[in-house]
Amino acid sequence: MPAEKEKRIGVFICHCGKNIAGGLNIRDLVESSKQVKGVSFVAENKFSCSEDGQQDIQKAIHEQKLDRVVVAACSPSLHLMTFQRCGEKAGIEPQFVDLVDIRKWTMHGSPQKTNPEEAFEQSKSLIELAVKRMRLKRLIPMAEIKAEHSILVIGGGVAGLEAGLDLADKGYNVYIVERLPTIGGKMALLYKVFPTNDCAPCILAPKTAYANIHPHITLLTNSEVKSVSGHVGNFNVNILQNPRYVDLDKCTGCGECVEKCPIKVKDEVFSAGLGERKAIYIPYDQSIPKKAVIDAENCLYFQKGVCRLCEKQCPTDAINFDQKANSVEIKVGAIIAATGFDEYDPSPKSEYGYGRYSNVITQFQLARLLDIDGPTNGQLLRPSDGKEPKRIVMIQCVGSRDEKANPYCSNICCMYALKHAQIIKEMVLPKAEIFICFIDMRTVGKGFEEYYRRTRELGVLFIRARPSEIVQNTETKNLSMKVDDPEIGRLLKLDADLVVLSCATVPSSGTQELSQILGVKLDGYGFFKEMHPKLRPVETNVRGIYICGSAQGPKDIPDSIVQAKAAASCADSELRKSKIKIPQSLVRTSQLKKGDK
Amino acid sequence: MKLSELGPEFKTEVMSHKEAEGLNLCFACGTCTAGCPIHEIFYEYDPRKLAKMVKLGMREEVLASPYIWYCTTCRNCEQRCPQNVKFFDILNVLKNMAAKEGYAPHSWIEQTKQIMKNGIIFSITEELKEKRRALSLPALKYNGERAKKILKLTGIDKVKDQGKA
Amino acid sequence: MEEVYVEEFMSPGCVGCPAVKKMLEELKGEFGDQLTVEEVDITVDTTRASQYGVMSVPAIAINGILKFIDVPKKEDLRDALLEEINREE
Repeated sequence: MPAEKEKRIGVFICHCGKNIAGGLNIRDLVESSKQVKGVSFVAENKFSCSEDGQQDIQKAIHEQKLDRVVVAACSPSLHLMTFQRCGEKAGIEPQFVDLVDIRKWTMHGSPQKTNPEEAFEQSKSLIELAVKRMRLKRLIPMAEIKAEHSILVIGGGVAGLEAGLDLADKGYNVYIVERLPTIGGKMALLYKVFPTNDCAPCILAPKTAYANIHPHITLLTNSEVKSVSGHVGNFNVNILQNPRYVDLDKCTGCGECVEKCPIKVKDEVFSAGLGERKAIYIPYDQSIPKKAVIDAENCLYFQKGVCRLCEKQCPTDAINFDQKANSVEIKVGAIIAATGFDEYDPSPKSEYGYGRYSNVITQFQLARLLDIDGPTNGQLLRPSDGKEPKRIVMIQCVGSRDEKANPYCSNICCMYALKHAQIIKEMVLPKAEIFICFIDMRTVGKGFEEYYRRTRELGVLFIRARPSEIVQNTETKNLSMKVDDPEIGRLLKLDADLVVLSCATVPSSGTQELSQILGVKLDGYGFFKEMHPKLRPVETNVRGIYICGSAQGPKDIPDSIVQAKAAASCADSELRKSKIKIPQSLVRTSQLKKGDK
Repeated sequence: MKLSELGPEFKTEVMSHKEAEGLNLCFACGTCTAGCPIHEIFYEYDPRKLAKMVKLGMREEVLASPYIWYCTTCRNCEQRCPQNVKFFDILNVLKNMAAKEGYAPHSWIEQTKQIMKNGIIFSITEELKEKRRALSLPALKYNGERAKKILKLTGIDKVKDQGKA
Repeated sequence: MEEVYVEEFMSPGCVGCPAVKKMLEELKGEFGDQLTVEEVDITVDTTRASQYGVMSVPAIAINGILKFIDVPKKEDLRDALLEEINREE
């Protein structure tokens, strides 16, 4: 066996100003690194990533004839690319440049910060390991593949639509998959949106309508992603189209079938449980596509084999009871997950009585009640007796900022509570008294503080405290609660006709399953986890899969739009070169089934 | 009140007890106070306010306060606390500190003395025994020895009498 | 090469990973200093996972090249290590 060619490895230790140099002895680390097998050069840089630092590394590569480089500095997710590009410029294959994070043990504020001795020992062994890894490393065979010029967007809410439209306008073929029978997502059901109080469906309609007719967009409603295989540039996606029992091409959305249908059921999705719909229904007037859909679970024909009134009524013969679930296979180059959020179900907070007291509702339910096209046509009536409430109490942070439910701030609740208070005061019940019980009022955003001011101007009262529990009068169904107002130092007994809970924003149901299908990690709260919370907010651990909107964490519409555009931009950057380089193993493993070799 | 005259070490001392570790997490939402049955009667007893007073280092005012002894131990405060602050446990720490420094109220000392003596706060009088006989209830056979033993172990007999009611 | 460097890609809660870990510990007993094993948690070191093209765990890279996904047969893993040790450059 011939002696292997001697590797010449350079080790560069970064001071990162005082971030590293202040937490361990750099000189000792330089000396110990010189002793490692294969190392032929060691240097220290004040800031390795700076222009000077990079020039020093490149100079050393030339002068010392280095063929491998290990930089000991900060996290690879932050700077590996920087040093690989730096090495490449000096003639070293990027794969032979590695970065190890020694800063985590030395920098103030790092959770792993430790004492200088420990930091030295840890860094020393990390460098030894990295040098050995680089010494033995062989080149990863790369494959050049043809990238599909198409994109899958999962979720037809405002974020998904924005990302999809952006990419479709750039010429990509976009598939938008939506679980519900209509696109539009939560935004379509919000009535008005802060901070402008625009009509939500009106400002959403240009996007939904455009998506509906865009030559490069295919809408797949009533559909779910069942499996994904492959890799960036070449994902194979299996989509299950659930039967609608209505022929989309024939249905004109006239609604005659809906009128004739004898079955009325509670509409949990589009009226938040406060209104009714028929077993065959059109979700709402601005639904896209505006076509009927049969809910088989409640349809008389599917349950008892009788009726078929809709079929008889339909002027275009669009009803098709024989429709079956349809499996669709598509190939896409990239995937954008925009699966949005659900409102937290506050039943576990039993002290507030949601589910037991009919006049305790959630803010999403209130939005449906206030909506002119909602279940009460915009009249605000108490669920218990249909009377107008005279005093309304809103409770903030229900299930948010709560170690026993969701520890995070849900971001949008302060603003939507203000929005609903404004709508009630300005348009619905100007005489109603409104109290908002809050912990902190967070109105951060362009035009948001002015919005808060406007709400105060309208006479809404704010109490910097929360009630501990709500008690219902069993006869009148009125509600009462005690709040300790710190400004006057007294316990206030609040009697209310209606209580509205500002509930947390939680990942939409099915996020967990989808994360497994996509192989994308979730964060501790069940939202999709981004590659880096600040610098790479829409990329994920899987190359070619991006996230945007509330699927990544609670956020409002402007932020969702920004993220959607960012995700679209990332997908475009990856796919606009028609050929992309990826590790060959990625091609191979994705063709193999798990367990095969 | 001057901040410079207060003692920040008070908070450190309270929080050195494991059960009081969560004190810093309190963001003063007032859910505890709103649900407190004592606060409803004595507004001076205010868990939210007490938590802040400890954090600011208002040692004398907290420990000498007669109100910290009013807690009914219903634990509503910690049941409802969104930040999982164990206010009931924190109050116990405060009461122990107060007792050590001679702030335990006279009535409380008297009650303990009674238990130390008889093993029970309310003595079993002849009248009570007669009542029970009339209702054909079995005679009380209460032996307070175990209660006395346990109390002795806690060192409660060494608590100084504040001398005030 | 005479030496071999194994990167064992894993994640907390991964079902197959402990089996791979055990297998590598046993092989370490056979190969001694010739074998270096590094455990790479893909939830921490996402960059390395994506550079190597790791899509699922457990996965094993030998001298920098992804060789196995899922739990391999021990003989196959041993053969792959031997092949690398005896490889002429």
